[in-house]
Amino acid sequence: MATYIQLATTTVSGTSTTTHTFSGISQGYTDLVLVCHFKPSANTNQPYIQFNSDTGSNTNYSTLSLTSNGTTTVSKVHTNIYGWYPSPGPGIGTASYLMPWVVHINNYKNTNLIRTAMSRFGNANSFTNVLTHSWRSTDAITSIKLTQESGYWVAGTTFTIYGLRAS
Amino acid sequence: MAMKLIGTASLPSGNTSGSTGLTITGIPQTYKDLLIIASLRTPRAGEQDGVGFALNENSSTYAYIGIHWNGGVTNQNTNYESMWAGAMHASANAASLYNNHEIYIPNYTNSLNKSYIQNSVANSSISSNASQLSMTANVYTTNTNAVTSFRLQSATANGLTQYSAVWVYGIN
Repeated sequence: MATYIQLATTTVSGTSTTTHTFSGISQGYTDLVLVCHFKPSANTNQPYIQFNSDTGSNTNYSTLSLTSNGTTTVSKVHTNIYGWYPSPGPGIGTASYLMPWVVHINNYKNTNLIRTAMSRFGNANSFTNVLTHSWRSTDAITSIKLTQESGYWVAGTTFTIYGLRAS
Repeated sequence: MAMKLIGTASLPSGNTSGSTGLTITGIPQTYKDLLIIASLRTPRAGEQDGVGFALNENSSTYAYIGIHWNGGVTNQNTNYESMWAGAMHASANAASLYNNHEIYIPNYTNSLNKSYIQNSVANSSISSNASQLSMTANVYTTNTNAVTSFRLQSATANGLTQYSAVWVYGIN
């Protein structure tokens, strides 16, 4: 049975946190699950995550998204972006509450494979997204940086990372 | 701690729930997130019904946006029915056909509005057009209370069929 082992968590307070990095991620699991419950300081601020200090000034990150706003559904490929986005294209949307983004990163330490993931993001006022991601690196993931194009994370935002493995 | 089963409920053979469906109460407040897994079916006539999901057994007020795919067409809707959280099979389908349902609620103990994600799969035995893979983003805006209970039910008050079951896991 796969188990969720909490590796680290943080809760944002105040208005000065623009970035959070989980470093020293244990290599003792098979998969990682990153649970973000967040809100950027402005709805135009695109959140994203990066790995192992790769800042995305290349073509390493891409996301395929299926996005619905309740009226239309569109599928898009996003490349040459700074990291993995929960809602590429339309922005994060307006919400008065924290929004969930759950990212499943399979085989995060297997150096024979490019890093890939599936995720789900929900803003019940604006969008619901199903996404797949790739980071074109075979490096084991040892750190995850959560940031946004500008602004800060609002108070109450939480980021939690879990390790999964067979028990 | 890790992922731990903290509650389960099911309908025994021969039993069909009333409109209240399956309820889990007394959820411990010692975890970070909740993962709810369910296997549901309704005696409603026809091929399909919506799943209703009520936090703290409160049926108002919710908002959601959903994506639904039946293998050929992708649809979407918003606030079609209060508490709408996915689809399940109804009586016109093969008797042993139940849906596969998952709801993830982060930060269920905090004092903010509860937002969550649900996925469900209901493959019809009759028509591919009645099959549905669904994902919704939901928010519960009635109050900001911690989640201490929930109810899964027919969104149209048609009840649930025998063997319908739900499991809730605390994650930390």
